Amino acid sequence: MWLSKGPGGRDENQNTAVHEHKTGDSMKRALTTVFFMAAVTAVFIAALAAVNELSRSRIRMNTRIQELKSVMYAFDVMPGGMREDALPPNASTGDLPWNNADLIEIRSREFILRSVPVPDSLKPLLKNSFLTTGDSVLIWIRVDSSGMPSAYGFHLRGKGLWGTIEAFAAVNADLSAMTGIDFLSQVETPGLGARISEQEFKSYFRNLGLGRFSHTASGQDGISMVRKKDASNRQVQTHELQAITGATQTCDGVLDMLNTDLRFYLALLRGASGVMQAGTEFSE
Amino acid sequence: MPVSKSMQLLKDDLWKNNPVTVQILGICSTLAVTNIFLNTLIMGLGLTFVTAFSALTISLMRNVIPPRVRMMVQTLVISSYVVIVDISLRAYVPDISRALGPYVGLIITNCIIMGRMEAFASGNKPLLSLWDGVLSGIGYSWVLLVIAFVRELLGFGTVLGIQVMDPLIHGLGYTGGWVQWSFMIMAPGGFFMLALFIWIANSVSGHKLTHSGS
Repeated sequence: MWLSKGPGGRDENQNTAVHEHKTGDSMKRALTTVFFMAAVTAVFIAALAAVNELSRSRIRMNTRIQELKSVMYAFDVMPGGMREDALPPNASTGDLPWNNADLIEIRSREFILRSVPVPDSLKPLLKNSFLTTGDSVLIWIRVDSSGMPSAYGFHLRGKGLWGTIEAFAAVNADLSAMTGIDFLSQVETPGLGARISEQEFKSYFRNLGLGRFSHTASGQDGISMVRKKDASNRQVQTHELQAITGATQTCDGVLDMLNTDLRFYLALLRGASGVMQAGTEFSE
Repeated sequence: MPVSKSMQLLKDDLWKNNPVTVQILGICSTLAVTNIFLNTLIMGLGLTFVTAFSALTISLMRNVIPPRVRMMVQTLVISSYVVIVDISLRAYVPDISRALGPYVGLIITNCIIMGRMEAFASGNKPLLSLWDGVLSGIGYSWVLLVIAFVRELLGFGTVLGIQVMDPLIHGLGYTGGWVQWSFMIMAPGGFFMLALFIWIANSVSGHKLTHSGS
């Protein structure tokens, strides 16, 4: 008889009942926990969705404005009355006192965007490039008052020390010189490589000579960097940029990006005589 | 809210049991975002906001959270506040949001927040927890701000982006301007500054840390 007793002195029937009761309890607890977690998650997701919805248009606008500021900088379009040489050497594009309405107005008045097909013959030029192009690339065209192109702009992509560098560059209509460049995204070391985004470094791209890209046979790089430049390219046009001390890898990355991607874009623009006709209108 | 307990929290979080210098928590972001003062300030405000409101929320829910999922709930609450901070920065201060990059999202991995939720908010009343959250955030921020001030000053010669070392050097009659300590801007500068700061702080307060942390 004592064998049928459980450890607590209860018989087996009692034990089974207690066990079932316990199982039922833990089942109930587990379900309550799951429902609780699901409910709390739903509440927080709803709150976040609301915050996201409320700020979405503002964030989209910020991104668009930031890109437009970079495009304008590369095309050497400054906010009304602003002189570029008045900017401090460490100024970034975000510091330019643009009025958002002006930016959008100038964009629609002076710029058109074309999607230009890439011919198969030019694809080998992108072998070492980080640029991801499909069958076509986007070209920004600045037009003058008579509707003729005065400059072309496009996206560049290269490798820095820590990650990808994305830039927007513009060249003049006869493809002989650069109008300017701006770096859209980079994750280089603050104070060293990250200084590529500062005014001082970017200023050497204004009127940078592109003549070397036309004679491809020489095997020379189209653009090179020197440690110290005595005059800006605006004053005396050269094919040289001034490097940043302590940021050799970043500068090499920028140089590779320029020499690879510019060669491609210049060939494309030269080939598609009248990009205006070759491409199809692209709306953002 | 009992005054004596709040005063005790004030002393503990800001100095005696400071999250960075004594508990050695939140080190990753301490090293990463302290080369520019303004970025550090925004990071500190973000972390203080997240810690304070997460503590308040967890404390309000503390009697209904099933014990076995309490950490899941804490993570959910903290990450929600982090996302709110991230979205707000992108919407209202996009330049700083870009400069801070992934570190805003990584506030969630900051051990200070989870630590305060487990150690304090899940067992204390809402207002006291909010107060503790605010103080923990400030305790973290002030240490970072001191480090950032020195790193920016020596690294760039600036305070809040305004050049101060060049005029000072010219004022002393020297020419050539401030030679930037690039080392201070890079990660190793962060390690050295943090180690120095912890050393000084613990020497002043008489803390002796052993390998077991006791």
